[in-house]
Formats: sequence, structure tokens, C-alpha cells
Amino acid sequence: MKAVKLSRRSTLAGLGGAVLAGHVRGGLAAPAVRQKATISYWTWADNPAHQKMVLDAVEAFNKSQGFITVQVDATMAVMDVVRKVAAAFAAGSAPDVAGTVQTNVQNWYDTGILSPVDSYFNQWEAKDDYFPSVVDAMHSVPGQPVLYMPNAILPYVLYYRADWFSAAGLKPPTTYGEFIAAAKAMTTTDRAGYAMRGQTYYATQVIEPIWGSAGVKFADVTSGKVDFDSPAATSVTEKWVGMLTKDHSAQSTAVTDNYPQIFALMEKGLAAMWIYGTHAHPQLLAALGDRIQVVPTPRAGDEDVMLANPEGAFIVSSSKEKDAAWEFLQFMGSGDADRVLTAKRGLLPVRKSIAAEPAYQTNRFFKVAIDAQASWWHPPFAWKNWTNYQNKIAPFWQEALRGDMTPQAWQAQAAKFLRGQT
Amino acid sequence: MIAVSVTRITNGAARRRICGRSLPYAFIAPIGVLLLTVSIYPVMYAIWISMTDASLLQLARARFVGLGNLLRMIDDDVFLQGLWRTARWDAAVVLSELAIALPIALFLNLSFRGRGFVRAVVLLPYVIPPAVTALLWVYMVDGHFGVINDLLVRLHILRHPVSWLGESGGSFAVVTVAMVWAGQPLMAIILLAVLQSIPRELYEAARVDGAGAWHSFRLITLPHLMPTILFLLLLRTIWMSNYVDMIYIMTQGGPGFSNYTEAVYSFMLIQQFDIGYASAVAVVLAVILTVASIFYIRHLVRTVLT
Amino acid sequence: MARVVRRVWIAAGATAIVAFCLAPFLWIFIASITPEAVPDASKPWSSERAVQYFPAEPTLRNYVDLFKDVPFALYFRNSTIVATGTMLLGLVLASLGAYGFVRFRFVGRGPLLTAMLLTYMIPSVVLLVPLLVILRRIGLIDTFPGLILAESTNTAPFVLLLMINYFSTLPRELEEAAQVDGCSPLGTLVRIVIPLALPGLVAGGLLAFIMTWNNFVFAYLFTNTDNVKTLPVILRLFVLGEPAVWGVSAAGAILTTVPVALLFLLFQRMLIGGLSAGAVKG
Repeated sequence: MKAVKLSRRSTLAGLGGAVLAGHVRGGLAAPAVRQKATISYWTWADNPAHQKMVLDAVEAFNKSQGFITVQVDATMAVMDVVRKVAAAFAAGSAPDVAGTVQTNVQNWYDTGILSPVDSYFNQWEAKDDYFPSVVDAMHSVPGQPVLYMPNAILPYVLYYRADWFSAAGLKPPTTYGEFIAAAKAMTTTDRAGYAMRGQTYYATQVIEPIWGSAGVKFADVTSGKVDFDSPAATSVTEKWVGMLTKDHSAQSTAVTDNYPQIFALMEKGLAAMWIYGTHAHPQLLAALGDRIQVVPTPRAGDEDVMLANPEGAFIVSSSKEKDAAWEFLQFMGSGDADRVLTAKRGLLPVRKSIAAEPAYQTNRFFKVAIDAQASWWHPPFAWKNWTNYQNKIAPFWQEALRGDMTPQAWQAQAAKFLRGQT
Repeated sequence: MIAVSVTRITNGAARRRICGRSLPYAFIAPIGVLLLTVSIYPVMYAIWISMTDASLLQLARARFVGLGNLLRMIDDDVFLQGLWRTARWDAAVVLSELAIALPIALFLNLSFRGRGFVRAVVLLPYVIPPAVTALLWVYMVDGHFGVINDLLVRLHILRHPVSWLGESGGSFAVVTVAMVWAGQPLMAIILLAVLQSIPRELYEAARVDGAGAWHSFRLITLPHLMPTILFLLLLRTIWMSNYVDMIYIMTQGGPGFSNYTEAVYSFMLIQQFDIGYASAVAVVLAVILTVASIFYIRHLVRTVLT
Repeated sequence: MARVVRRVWIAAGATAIVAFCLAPFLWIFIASITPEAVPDASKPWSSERAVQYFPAEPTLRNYVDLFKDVPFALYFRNSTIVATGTMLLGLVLASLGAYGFVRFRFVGRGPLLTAMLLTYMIPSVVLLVPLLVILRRIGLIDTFPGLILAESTNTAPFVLLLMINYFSTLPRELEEAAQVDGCSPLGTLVRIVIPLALPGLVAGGLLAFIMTWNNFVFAYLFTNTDNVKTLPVILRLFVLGEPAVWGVSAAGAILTTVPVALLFLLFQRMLIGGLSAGAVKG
């Protein structure tokens, strides 16, 4: 026994402890003394309530076992976390675990900041509990190892005022054409048919599933071909921008409207439809009750596509406590911790067993998304120029909405960014 | 208030002779050391990075490109127009701030009851956290629910609410007003401190000689204030050229690129991890500022050091 | 008659200034006592569409909520420590340095001052990474001294320039009198110049305090734990969070602003300066 323990210890130099190693290898634990470890975890918080959830989950982890202490910093927005982790890594003071959204996962991996969790994940019993599309997202590109551990997924749906639709004798739209027509029909002097967002890249994010359903691939990671300036893509954009500039079925302040403004419009009954993530539903539900309902986002082609972006955390390559970090990631992706990070925030869990629980099944907003699970999709974040496009497109989108730039010109510019041009 | 030690007559002269030469350096040393470590080194580093194609995600793989970033700038519309936008922003904010702060400082220099309270109130806009001020003004000019639109419509100055931040001219105006509102206390307080140090006898003597208020102002107050005013203009221009916070929170540089000053552009580039080019833009901005103000800097250094 | 006219002008001026500075601030205060829109699914729209100039039911609930989820008091303490430390460090170093520059002639005086002014020209946003490297090397990340040092890069040069400008306006006669009487340069600085320069010091110290109090970037980048984080970091989470809680953010803004304003109210008497006639003429 002693010889086995020693050789494990020496091969796993500087990590966890013998018992930890035993746990990973499937229970050949020897009653050895576990070494204490302190790891740091940096992640984002959308608002103070979210921050409290993260802090509570971390504290639950710290209390559940006496060996690993996690120090958490969750006081920033997503973009700030990315910057801070990158700057800290360059300065040699990076945390052990960092929160991330799917968008940045390939970046972290390509730059060597991310340490894949392949070996840990494949030994874990829960690995078959994950939705297949989420597992694909964890690899990011087929053929790569499992890169990170998502603990929640954010699907995007179409919110609509059911009371107004039924008063007008309309059913909620399923195709893009119906959607544009419904926006026109719902517009009166008193309200806009669709609450359109301007300002940031996220204004275009909600159009991505519609482009996807029109057959647009954006960019093919293997062949390197960019098709974002195809006629199919341009046609979708033209109709969308036309909602504001031609049909006047979107609110006039769309160019600069962000989440708080859009939400105020919905809450005060000034808009009939809004495409956004399920995380907006707690507030909308509280404000509008049964009057607000959801359907999947409209499709422009024959295929159903639902935008769903996973998010979670990864182990930073400079960490000296990777075993401890994995144990923490496991905890955050399971049980109560995961429930806290999903249900109350309005996101879906990434594990089938948890998603099957009543809290999610009886919630109509979640149910719509879970039922569409086969169509979960996200744009090719792993494409090497994706962040180039995402980071630079905002001002051009504003110009397009103001009519200073035609949709065709916008489309061409967006494709240029995807091709890696500045 | 003036305490003079008489007993040190004999020692003082001797000590002064011995320590005379190294003494000034002893005074300068503390702040010199501080600035050397935490200012000079980062600036050198920034200049070095500006000549590479470094990405924030991969600083180790930065490649030296020499003047390559400069060539990129010459072709870069956003950068070129940013020069004009920066100048426009600087002029609008700094001059407006001075136009408001000077009368306020002169007013607070008078003695009247409640002066302390008014002084404290004047400082308030500067004390409020910039993020809050930014959001406050965004809400006040909101196109649907903003109080400014509401008031203007009620007063029949406008027929419909205007989306101020949605227009390039409008958003520039709103951000400028917000910045001036929040920034003028700085100038006011500094000007007030200097006004307070002008000896009263000068005004007494002028009054005895029959000079009116305007003459006193022009011949006594203004000359005393001029160095400080010029100093404030320079300082504030440097700050505003480098300022990002409120512009970014209120407009994110938009609509379109209409609020992309060079500093905002550099900040956006860092958001895009393009730290090499971002540093280059920043360095060029600093060089331009230096060249534009070199004469004034030399003049300032000479006047205060005589 | 002239007295009354003067009084009226003064009152008008004071009112105009107070209104200009206070109006938006009042708006924040009103927002802080406005209850968060309580959604009511039975109404056609859940919250007031029209602009509310005063809430129907003002409440202090937002202030309570501020402390509910986050350790606001802890952040307040941290902000106080960091801002006070930066202010004191800046004042001491800047006074010494400014006196050295203004009253002594030494080799390199002009170029040194010019160099300090020049390093001030680069936007601090590109200095973040090297500053992070430096702080990490001296092991001061996530500590009060580390944050004070970082903040000093902003405030110390500013206070130095302010003090240089201010010291140069002070007449030399008093100092020269003291030196003839045998006072050492340091003694002259401490016993004569500082009391005379009190208005400038108060102005500089206060501004340095506020600059540090409100600084966000350094506070968030160089701190990792709640023990050192300052108010701007947590306030931004409220202000820019999704969903935004404007009422609570406004309450946070009020609590962040008022103590500093009170501080200034306390110290603003020291902004009064001026030489007494007798001292100069001896």
C-alpha cells in the first residue's frame, strides 16, 4: 500500500493529495492525509443578486469539505473578467479557475491560457448526463479534448404579448415572414410591434438563429469559407432593419436602446414582441403575468434553430492546484449549486437529470426551450475571426439602424470582419 | 502663527553650507522614486508594446513591428477622425468648464452667510461616482421616459420627445453637458484657493485709488489668476484627451463612431485585445498633446520655477 | 440701499449656483426613495409611464436593500482607507517635492519637471498591464498599500503640479525672514509655508481623495477579494447590472457621495487663506 501511495504522490507532484488521486482513479483511496489547498475563482456577475448566488454556491462548497478553500471574485461584468484574466495571466497572477462564456472558450484554448479537463471529465460518472449539443460545445471543435465545464445554458426565445395577439386574432409567428408581418400588425400609435435593440453586438446576437435557420453558416471552421455576405443572409438583415427604417414597427429609439430601455418598454406595455434569453423571464413574468408568453424564435428556412449559449468555468493553465480546481468545477456543475445558478437566474441546466426536474418542466419559458433541445445551436465561436467580428461590429450596426449604412453594406462589412480584415 | 526659532542662529548657517547642495534632491527624492517606479516604467513599457502586434491574450507571442502600427493608423479612418473628435471634445468641455467655474469661484470668494454650505454644494457634482452621473444623464435624456424630454414637451419647446443619444450631435451635446456639470467643481475649487491667497490690501489700495470692480478684476485678480488658469487649461485638456469613462458608459462611442475620441478608440481596441495597436494610438495621442503644448509647458516650467 | 441690492444679487447668485449643482443630484435622491417598480400583472402596464416627479410612496427600502446582498459597509471602509492613504501620501510627497522644485535651484530642475509632466500625458488605460506586473513583482496585489501605490500614479503628479503652482504664488518674504533667523529649509516648509499654503493643500488633498474615492479601473483590476475592494467596483455592479436596479443604485450613489460632501463641508473653512498685513511688512 505504501509503495503505491508514494508513487502516486510523486507522479502527481504538487496536486491535491493521495486521496484526491484515489477519488479520480475510481475509489482506490488509501486513508492518507489530504493536503489543504486554496484556489481562486474569478467569474462575472450580471447583478448583485447573481453575485450573491455565486458567493452562496462557493460558500456551500467550502463548507461541504474542509480541504479546499475557494476564494471568489465575482464583482465584474463578463468583458471585464476576460480582460482581467488575460492581463493577470500575462502578469503571472492568474486565478486557478475562471468563469467563461462559450464565445471565448476557443480563444482561451488557442492562447494556452486554458487547461483542458479531458482526463477528469472522461472519468466522471456524470459525463453521460450532459445534453449532446452541450458536450459538442465542450469540445468546441470536433477532435479537440473537452475544454471546459459548462454549468448553465442560455436559450433565446420569442416573448410576445399573448393578450394583444389573441385580441387581434393572431397566432404567434413560426416563420420569419409571419414574424415581420406580426410586428407590423401589432404596431399602433401607442406601441411598437417589436422591441429592437441597438447599441452593442448583442443586438445582432438575437438575429443569429434566424440567419442560421436560413442556412447561413457564417464561417466554416474547417474549410475557412465565409458565407455571411450571401444573399440569404442579406435578405434576413434587410427585413430586420426594415422593421425599423421602413415598416416603423420597431421603437424609434432602437439605435441606442439597451437592456434597461427595452425592458422598460415591455414592462410599460409599449412593445409587443422581444427576442431575448430566458433569463429575462423572471422580471417579465412578475411584470406581466399571463399576458407574456413564449415560442421558439421564428425560422427563415425549413430548419428550426434555437440559439443557446452555454457558460461555465475552466481551469487556468498556470494553476498549481488543478485537482482541487476540478473538484470545485464538479461541485458547481452538480446538485444544489447548479440549481441555484440556473433556475433563479432564468437559465437552463446542462444536465438532463436536472433539467427533468419540476422546477424547469413546469415553467413555460424553460419548457419551450427544453422541448426544442434538438435544435440548440450557436454560431461558430471557434472560428478564428469570430471575436474580431463580435468586437468590432457594434458601431456599424448602429449606422445600419440609423439608415446611414445600407443592410447590404453592413453585411459586407460583417463578412469582412469574419474574414479577419480590419 | 509665524514661529521663528531664534536660538538656531549660529548653527543654521553652518548647516546650510554643508547640506546646501544635496538638500533639494532630498526634497525631490520621495516623489521622484514613486513616479520612477509606478509611472516611468509603465510608460516605457507602453511605448515598447506600441511597436509590437501584441494581443492581450498572448503577450508572450508579441512580434516587433516597428512603425507598422503607424502605417496602419495613417490608413485608419476612425483614428484620423478621432483626432478631430478629440480636439472638439477637449475644447467644448474645457472652455465650458472654465466659463462656469470662474464666475462661481469669484462668487464664492465674496463673504456672505451660508457661504460654507454653497461651497459644499458646488463640490457635489464632482463627488458623485462617474458611473452614476453617466447613467443619471442617460435616464434624464431618455427618448421615452426622460425628464428632460418631458419638461421640453410640456413647455412646448418640443412637440415629440427626442432621442438625444441616438443622434451624433445630440449625444455629443449630452455627454459634454454631463462632463461639464461633473467636472467644473475641480476648476472652481482650485481657482477659489488661489483667489483666497490674493492679499486684501491690493484691493483696498485699488479702491482708495478709485478703481471700480471691473478695473480691480482686470488689474489685480486676473494677473494673479492667469498662471493658474493656464495651468488648469493645460491639465484639463490632458485629462479630457485621455478621458474614457463617461463617454463609454453613456454612448459606447456611438451612435456609429461619432463619439470615438482617441482615448475611447484606444480603450475599445483593448477590449478587442489589440493591445499593441491600442498602445500605439495612445502613444501617438500623447506625442501630439506634447507637441501641441510644448511651448506652454516650457513657459509654465519657467514661470513657476523663477 | 446698496447693501440691500448686494444682498439680492448674492441671494440670486447663490440660488442659481445651488440649483445648477443640486438639481440632477436631487433627481438621484428622488430615485433613491422611489420604490422599485412593483410589477402588478393586473394593470395594463405595471409601472408609471409618465415621468414621476415625486414618488407616490417614498420609501427608504432601497437603502436597506443596498446592504442586503453585498457587504456595502465593508466596501465603504475599504474606500475610506484607500482614499485617505492616497491623499496623505500624495500630500506629503507633493509638498516636499513642490517645495524642492520651487525654492531651490539645482541641476536638472527644468527637465525633471518637464519629464514628470510628460509622463502624465499617456492615457492610463494602456498602463494597466505593466502596473499589474510591477505590483505582482513587489507582492502588493490585493493589498491596501498596493492599491494606494497604484492610485498615487494618478493623484501624486496632479497634487505635485498643483502645489508647485500654488507655492510659486506665495511671497518669499516670510520664508526669507525665517531663514535669516536660522530656520532650516525643512523647518521653513513645515512651520511657515504649509500654514500659508493651507488653502492649496486642502484643495489638493480633497481632490486627491475624491479622485481615489471614485476610481474604478485600478480598484477592480488590482484587487481580488472583498477585503480590499472599494465602492466604485460594487456600485458599478448595481448601476450597470442586468436587470438594472436604479433605485438601489441611486441609494448607493447617495451613500457614496454624502460622506465626502460632509467631509468637505467640515474642511472648507481651511480654504480661506490670505496674508495678514502685519506679517509681511514685519
